[in-house]
This record gives sequence, structure tokens and C-alpha cells, in this order.
Amino acid sequence: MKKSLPEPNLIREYLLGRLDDQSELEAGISEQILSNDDLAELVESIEDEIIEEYLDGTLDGADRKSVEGYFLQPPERKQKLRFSRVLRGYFETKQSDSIDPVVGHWARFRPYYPAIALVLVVIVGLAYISRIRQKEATLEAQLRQERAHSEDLVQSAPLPAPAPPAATVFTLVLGQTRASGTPIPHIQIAPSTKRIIVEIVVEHPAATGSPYDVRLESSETGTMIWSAQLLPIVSAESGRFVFDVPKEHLNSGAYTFTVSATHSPAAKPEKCDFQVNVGD
Amino acid sequence: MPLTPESFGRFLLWLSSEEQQAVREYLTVRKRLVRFFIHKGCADPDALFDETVDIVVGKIEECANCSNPLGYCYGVARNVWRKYMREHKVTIPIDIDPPSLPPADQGKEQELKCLELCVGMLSAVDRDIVSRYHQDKGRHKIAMRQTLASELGGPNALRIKVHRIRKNLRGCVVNCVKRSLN
Repeated sequence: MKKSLPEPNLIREYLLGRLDDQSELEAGISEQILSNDDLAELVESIEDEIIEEYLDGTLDGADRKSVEGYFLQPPERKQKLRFSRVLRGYFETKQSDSIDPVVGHWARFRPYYPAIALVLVVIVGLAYISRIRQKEATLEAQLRQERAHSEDLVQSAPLPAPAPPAATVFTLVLGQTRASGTPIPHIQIAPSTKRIIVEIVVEHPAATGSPYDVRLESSETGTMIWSAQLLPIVSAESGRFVFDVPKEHLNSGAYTFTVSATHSPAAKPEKCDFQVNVGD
Repeated sequence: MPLTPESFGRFLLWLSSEEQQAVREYLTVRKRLVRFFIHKGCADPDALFDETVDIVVGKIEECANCSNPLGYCYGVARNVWRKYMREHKVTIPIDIDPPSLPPADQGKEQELKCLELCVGMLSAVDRDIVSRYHQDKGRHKIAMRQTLASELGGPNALRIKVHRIRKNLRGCVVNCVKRSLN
């Protein structure tokens, strides 16, 4: 029979060294961790929580002492602690940078949004039910009128034109340049387009995690219009960059993307050309 | 005492006569025993693992037909840990920021750049989870984590999910910083 996993509180005591004097219990847990990778992962996740609480300052005196005198002795855990600090700092900065003071105030209630939404639905629903009977006759009359009106419209009016797409997506392949003699993609961008999403395919990318400089230049003037440092999404045989280009940077004309590996400055940058036409 | 190449070779042969299999076995034994020493709060888990292997190598003749090398090594590791406990009863003051990492602003700046890149590589769902997990303070933080736990199927599911995301991010940042130093 498969042995059940120890409770998180017991694992916590184990990690703080409080079971070291209870030989049988301690050995039982150690042996379970040794042979059960799921439990080992749970133990590591509880390690993370202890570190979080240590950084929050929410541990009581005895736990704090155990953390400092026992738990944090291995270098691996000191590094985890250090990384947790960096991570917390990063997300705290992001949160304070991105939250509008008014929105931020309401964001505090985010955990209660489902309950608030439920209360609102109930109130609106009750109000609706109390009035619906009074309006039933009127609505039926209106419905009859609307049906008659719709039939007239279908017979007399042409179908509306489909709405233009809000985003333009196009794919380029590195090496596809005018100089290479391959046909250059012509991209049609509607004036109503709000987002331009570009995919550039790389045939032999470096390993995942190596950033590249991606530059957009006007082929006519050579002026750099936009640049970014991007990571490719690497699959078994190729890689690709997927990113947004601000719409205002692309007008009708010829353009070139230049991609160079930041980790290998000696490598030759690769290019791809394309032609843009803005209009309906 | 560091493990000698001869001891290491004998140890590998004991794990398996087939070279590739021996290396795989070694990595498993190493991962599990180093993790054991970390869980026991030992200051130098790698050195204690080497000490364990050294002792096992000295007893290889006794356990030539041992059917469970990991279990045997674990038994020796527990004795090494007990000895360590006896010798290190006095608490060692800790140095929370390891001196081997670049302490200068430049290193930290690079680490943050790498973190930004690595967070950007997470899936939208994972990014949302880790960001909400680190939001707010005090009771708002507790409420947020309760919400996340109910969305993900309970506190253990949340623990594991956040742990995996953080582990992934940490590995990504470490590799990114290493590359930037080269």
C-alpha cells in the first residue's frame, strides 16, 4: 500500500530541524523523501514558503531562530533566499509602477470580486424580475414591430461590409532580401489596424535564453526606426521571434529587419526585407 | 577530504558495470543525498556527499552484491550526518548574501534585466499566477493567496505551482547572468 504523504506542518517541523531528536519519525520522513519525487517537490515548495515568511517577518521568534541557525546553513538555501528577495523586489516595483492610485485602491478588493459580482447579480436580477411582468405586454408589442422592421431591412438594405481587422499579423524569414533575389513580402496594413504583430523565422537559432538585437530600418533611408532585445522561441529545427511593432512606425515604403546575436558579436547579422502598403 | 579520481572510478563501477548506466545511477544518488544533507541544514552538502562516497568505496568489498546501492549509500549518509551534527552543535553564524555572487550594482542590475527577460518568457497564465502571488502585503496578500489556491485546486496545488514557476525562473536567471558574465 502506498504510504500517505506527511502533513505540510510536519514537513515544516522537519525542515526546521525540530524532528532531529525524534529518530524514528525523522528517519521515516527522510526515507519517504528519498524515494518519492512528488513528496520531495512538496518539501521544496514548503522550503519556499518558509523563506517567504522569513522575508515577510511573520515567523515567531523560535521559528526565526531555527531558520537562521539551521535552515539557512546550506548555500543552496541562501541562494534561494537571495533570489526570493530579488523576485519580491521586482514584483513590488512592477506593481507600484503599473497601478493607478484609484485603480490600485480597488485592486485591493480583487480577492472579493467574485462575491461582489454575485451580490450585484442578485440585486440586478431581483430588480429585473419585479419589473419584467409590468413590461411584458409592451415588450411583446415592440418585438412584433421590430420583427416587421427587420424583415423590411433584410429585403431593402445591402449587407454591411465586414469590419476591418484590428490587428495585422505577418511572417518574415531571415535571408529573404532583395539582394538574394527572393520575392519580397508585400504587407497590406489597413488604416484602422491597431496592432502589428510580426513573426520572424530563424533557421538556426542559438540555444534558448540567448537574446538577439532586432532592428527595424527604412530600406530607403537606412534610418533605424525601432529596436528591441528579444528572445527567440526555439523548437527542434528552427526558432522564431514574435513581437509587436508600434503602428505609427510603419507607413507605406520598404523596410528591413536586422537580427544580430548579442551573445556572439562576431556573427554576421541577418536581414529580411518587406514592403508595406498602408491603405484599404 | 575530496574524492580522488580512483575512488570515483571504483564507485561508478560498483553502481553499474555499464558506463552510461553507472553515470545515470551516480547522478541519481548524488541528487538525492545532497538533497538529504540540505534538508538536514548542513553547511556543505557537497562535501558530506563526497565523504559518504569515500566511506562507501572503502566498504565496496563488503557490499559487492548489494541490490540497492542508493539505500546503502543513504544508510552511510545518515551516519555522516549524525557525525556532522555532533561536531556542529554550536550554531554557525550565517552570511545570507553569498560572497561568491557579484555584489556590485552592475551585477544586480544585470540580474534584474535577466529576471525581466525570464518573466517575459513565462506563459501568460504562469506570469499572472506568480505576479498575483507576490502582490500586496498583510491580510490582502493572504486573501489573494486564498483566491489563487481556490482557483488552482487547493493550497498544495498552489504551493507546487508557484514552486515550479519560481524554480524555472531561478534557473533561467542564473543561466542568463552566467552568459552575461562570459
